[in-house]
Amino acid sequence: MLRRLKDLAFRIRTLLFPGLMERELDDEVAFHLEMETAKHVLAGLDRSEARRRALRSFGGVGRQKEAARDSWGVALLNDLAADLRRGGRQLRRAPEFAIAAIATLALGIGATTAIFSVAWRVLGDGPPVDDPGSLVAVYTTCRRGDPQCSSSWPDYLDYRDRSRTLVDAGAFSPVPFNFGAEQGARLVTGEVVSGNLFSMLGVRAHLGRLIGPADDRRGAAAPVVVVSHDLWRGLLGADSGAVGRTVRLNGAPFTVIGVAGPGFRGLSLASPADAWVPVFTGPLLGASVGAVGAGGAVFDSRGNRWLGTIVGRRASGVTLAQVRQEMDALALALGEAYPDDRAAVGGVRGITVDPAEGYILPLGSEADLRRFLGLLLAVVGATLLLAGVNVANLLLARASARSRELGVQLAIGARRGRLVRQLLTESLLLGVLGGATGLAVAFGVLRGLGAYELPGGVSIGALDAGLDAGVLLFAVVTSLLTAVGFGLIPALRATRKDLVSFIKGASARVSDSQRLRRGLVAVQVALCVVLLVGSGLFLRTLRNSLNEPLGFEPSGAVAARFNLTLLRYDSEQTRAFTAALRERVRALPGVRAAAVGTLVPFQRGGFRGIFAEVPGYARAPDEEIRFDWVVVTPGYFEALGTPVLAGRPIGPEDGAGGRGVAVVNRFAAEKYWAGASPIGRGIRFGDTTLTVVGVVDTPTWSAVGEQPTPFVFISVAQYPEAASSGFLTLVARSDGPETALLPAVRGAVRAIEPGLSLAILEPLEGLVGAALMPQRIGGLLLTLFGGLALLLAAVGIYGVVGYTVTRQAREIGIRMAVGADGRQILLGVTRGLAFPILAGLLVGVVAALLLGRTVTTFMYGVRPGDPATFLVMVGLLSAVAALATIIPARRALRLDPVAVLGGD
Amino acid sequence: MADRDRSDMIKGTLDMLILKVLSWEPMHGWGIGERIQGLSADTLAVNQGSLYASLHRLTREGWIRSSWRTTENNRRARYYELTRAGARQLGLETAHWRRLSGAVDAILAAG
Repeated sequence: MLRRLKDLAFRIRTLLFPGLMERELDDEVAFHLEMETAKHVLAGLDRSEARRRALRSFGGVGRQKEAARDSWGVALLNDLAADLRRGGRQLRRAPEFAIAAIATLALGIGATTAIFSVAWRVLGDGPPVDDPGSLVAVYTTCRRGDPQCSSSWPDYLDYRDRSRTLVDAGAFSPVPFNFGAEQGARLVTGEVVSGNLFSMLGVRAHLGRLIGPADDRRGAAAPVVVVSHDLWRGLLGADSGAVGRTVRLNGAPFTVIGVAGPGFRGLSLASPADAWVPVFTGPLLGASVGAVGAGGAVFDSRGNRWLGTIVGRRASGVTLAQVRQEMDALALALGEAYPDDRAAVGGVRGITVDPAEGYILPLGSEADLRRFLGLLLAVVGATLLLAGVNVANLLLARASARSRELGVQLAIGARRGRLVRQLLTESLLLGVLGGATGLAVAFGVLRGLGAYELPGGVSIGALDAGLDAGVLLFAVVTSLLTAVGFGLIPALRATRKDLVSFIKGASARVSDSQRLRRGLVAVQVALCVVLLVGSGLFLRTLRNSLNEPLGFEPSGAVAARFNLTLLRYDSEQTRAFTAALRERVRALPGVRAAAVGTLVPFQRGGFRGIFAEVPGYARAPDEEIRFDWVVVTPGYFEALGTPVLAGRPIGPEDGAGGRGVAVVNRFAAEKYWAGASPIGRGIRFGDTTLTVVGVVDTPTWSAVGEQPTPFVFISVAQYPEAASSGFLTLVARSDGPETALLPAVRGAVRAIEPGLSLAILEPLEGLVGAALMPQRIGGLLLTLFGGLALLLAAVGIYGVVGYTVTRQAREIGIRMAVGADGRQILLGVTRGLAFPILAGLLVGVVAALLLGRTVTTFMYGVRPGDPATFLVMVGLLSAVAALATIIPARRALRLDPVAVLGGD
Repeated sequence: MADRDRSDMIKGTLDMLILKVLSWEPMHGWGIGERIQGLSADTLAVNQGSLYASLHRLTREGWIRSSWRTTENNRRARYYELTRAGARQLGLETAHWRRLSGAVDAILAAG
C-alpha cells in the first residue's frame, strides 16, 4: 500500500514537474560523464578522447535518458497526446458515428446535470453562513397539531433565553414590501429579523453594515434596511453610494445601511428575501403587514403566533437530541406556566427542533420535495444509463467495422494495452465533447424548467440553480465516467487476440460483440419499460386531475392579486377601491362577472382560520370547529364559476348595517348540519353571530384530491376591516379569450391607482396548472425520455438484426438458393433477439412495479401498479421492438443469392 | 565492447548488486558502477546507461531514495541510499540468488 502511494507520488511528481525531473536527469548524466572522462584522463588519455570514450561507454546519451524517462511513466503522457490526435482523426473520419454518440451523451449528461443542479440547490446547497451544521430551526406546535408552526414573540424570547443547549437564537418572519427607490418601485419579499440574527448566522456585508442588536431596541428601533446583493444590483443600479440613501418601504422612510454578501437571500428556499428590517420596526410598515404591524401588542401576546422561523445555534458538543430534550422540558414548563394559552389540541404544547444545515424547505413539503427530486434524478439517471448503453452499442458496431484495422495493428505487434488505451482515449474524447455539448443542453433544460415549480411551491427559476463549480465538477466526472465506463468493454472486446482471425476473413460466425449487443438491447428495453410506464402513470394522473371537478370553473377567468395595505389604505379606502375596480372591470367588453375576495382557489397561502360555535352541532370532547374564511364582494361565486347549491350567494343587499350573513361550502353544510338545511341557521364567531344564507359547492383550494375543509364566505361590505389587511384578489370572467382580458384588467387597476403593483395577474387556469407542476414536470420529462428510450431501443434492435443479416448474407444466400423457406430465414436472423427483448420486458416491469411505490404521493386516481398502463406501455414497446426486428430482417429475404455468393 | 570476456550482467542481478553496494553507504550513480566493476575484479561490466534506468526503477519501487549532495571534490551529485524496504528486498534477492546459483553449481558439478 505504502509502496503504491510512493509510486503514485513519484508519478504525480513527474507529471507535475516534468521540467524538474528532466533537469535532474541531465545533471545526473553530466556528472556521470564528467567522472568517467576524469577517470580516463587519469589513465593517461587526452581530454577529448577521454570524453569520447566516456560517451561511448554510456551507450548513447539520448537513448539512455529515454530508458530512464520511460521508467518514470512519462511515456504515458506523450502517448496520450498522440492518442488524442489519432482519436480526433478517427472521429472526423466517421462523422455520423461521432455525431450520434456525442448527441446521445449530450442529452444524457445535459439532463442529468440540469436536474442535479436543481437537486443540489434544494438539498445539497445552503445559504452562505458560518458553520451551518450547528444551526437548528425551532417551531411551535400548531393548535391543529402540525409540528412546525410559527411562534409568538414571548415564545421566542423564552426559547432563546432559557435554553442552555443553544448559544443564541435569532428569528425572522416574511413580510411583503412595496420597495420604493428613486429608480422605481417594486413588490419584493422582505423579512423582519431579530437584531442578533445576522451576527448569529455569520452573514457578511458586501457594502456598509448589517442589522445589529443596537438597531433593534423595542420602542426605539432604527428604520434601517439591509438589501440583498441582487436587489442592489437591480433596483439600486449597483450604486456604491446606495448606503445611506433613504428608500420607502410601504411608504415609510428607511435608511439603507448595507448590502448583504452575494448569494445571501435569507434561509427560506421557497421565498428568497431581498430586504431585511429590524423586527421592532414592524409597526412602521403599515397598518397590518402580517401581524407584525398590528401595533406593539404582538410583542406581548403569547397567543399571537406570527413569528415564522426561529433559528438557533447549538453550543459546541451539544447534540440535536440534547436540544430536543431541553426543548421538550421547556415546552412542558411553558404549558404549566401559561395554561390559558391554547397551545395545541388537547392543550399540549410542543416545540419542534429540526436541523437547519441547508436551506429551510417549505414546511410540510420536505418529504415530497426529496421524493420528487429523487424521482427526477432517477429518470435522468436512467436516461444517462441509456445514453451510455447506446454509446457502448455504437462503439461495438464501430469496433466491428474497424476490426480489420485493429487486427492488423495487433498482428504487427502492437501491445493490446496500448490499443485499449487508444480506443479508450477515443471514448474519452467522445465523453469530453458530449459533456461540453451536455452543458449547453443543461443550460437549456434549466431555462426551460424555470417556469415550473417543485412541490411546496418552490419555483425552479427562483432557485437560481446555475452551473457553479460543484455542478461543473459533477458534469465532468459524469461525462468521463460514462465515456470510460461504457467504452471499456467494447475496447476490450475489440482488441481480443482472436481478432487476428477477422483478417483471415472468418465472417459467418456470430461474434461475441453481437452477444454483448443483445445484452445491451435487454438493458435498453428494461429502462424503456420503466420510463414509459412512469410517463403513462404521470400522464394519467394529469388527466385525472384535470378532469376532476374542482368546484369552480378555471377556464375563462383571470385573477389579479394586489395588496392595498402596502399603500397604507384604511378600510374605507379599501372598500372604495374594490368597489371602483369591480365596476370598472365589469364594464369591460365581454366581461360577465367580476368580484374581489381575500382568497381565490390555488393562489397558495393566505388562508385564515377562525374558531366557531355551531349551535345544534354536538361536538366531540376536544373537537374544535374551525372555518377558513374568505371575505368577498357580490358576484364572487359567479366569477369563480362555483355553483350555488341552496339559498343565495353574497349579494348587494348584504351591506353595512344589515344582519351579518354567511355562505358555507357544501362540506361544512354536510358536516355541521348533517342532513338538515343550514339556511337560516347561525354560526357564532366569538361575539358575532352570522346567519347562513347559502350553500355553495366545495371549491378545491390548493391541491386536486385534497381533503376538503369547512369554509365560510362573508361580505366585504359588512366586514370591511376583515378585508383591509393583506392581499386581495380580483377575479373576472369573460366570454372572450383570457389573454385579451389580462391587459384590460391591468389597465383598470392603473386607472384607479397608478402606484399599485400586482403580485399576480394570470388566468385562473394558470394558477391551477401551477399546482400540478410536479405532475407536469414529471409527465414532461418522463414522456420525453420515454420517447427517447423507445427510439434508442428501436435503433439498438434494428442495429443488431441488420448486422446479423449482413454477416450471414452468404449463408442466407446459400439457403435461399437451395430453396429454404422465407419464414425459417426470418426466424434465423431474429431468433437471437427474442430472449433479450423478453428478459428486458420482464426486468423492466418488475423494476417499474418496485419504483412505482416510491411515487405514490404524486399519483392521483391511478395506482402505481395500474394494469392498463402496464399493458399499454408493454404493448407499445413490443410493437416497436417487432417493427425494429422485422424491417431489417426482411432485407434478408430480398437478398439476391447470386450477388451475395458472387460478390464476396 | 572492449573486453569480450567480461560477462554481461544476468538479467535482474544488476538491481541486486546496486542494492548491495548501497547497503554499505550512499553513493552516486557513477560510483555504483565503478564499485560493481571494481569488486567483481572487472568481470562484470555494468552498462552505464541501463544503470540509471535501474536506479530510477528502484527509486519508484521505494527500495532506494535519492538526494542531491556535494562530493568530496565539491561537485553536486545525486546520491542514492537504501531504504528499509530496500534492505528487506536485498535480503530476499540474496537468498533467492544463493538458492539459484547453488542449484546451478550442483548441476554443473554433477558428472
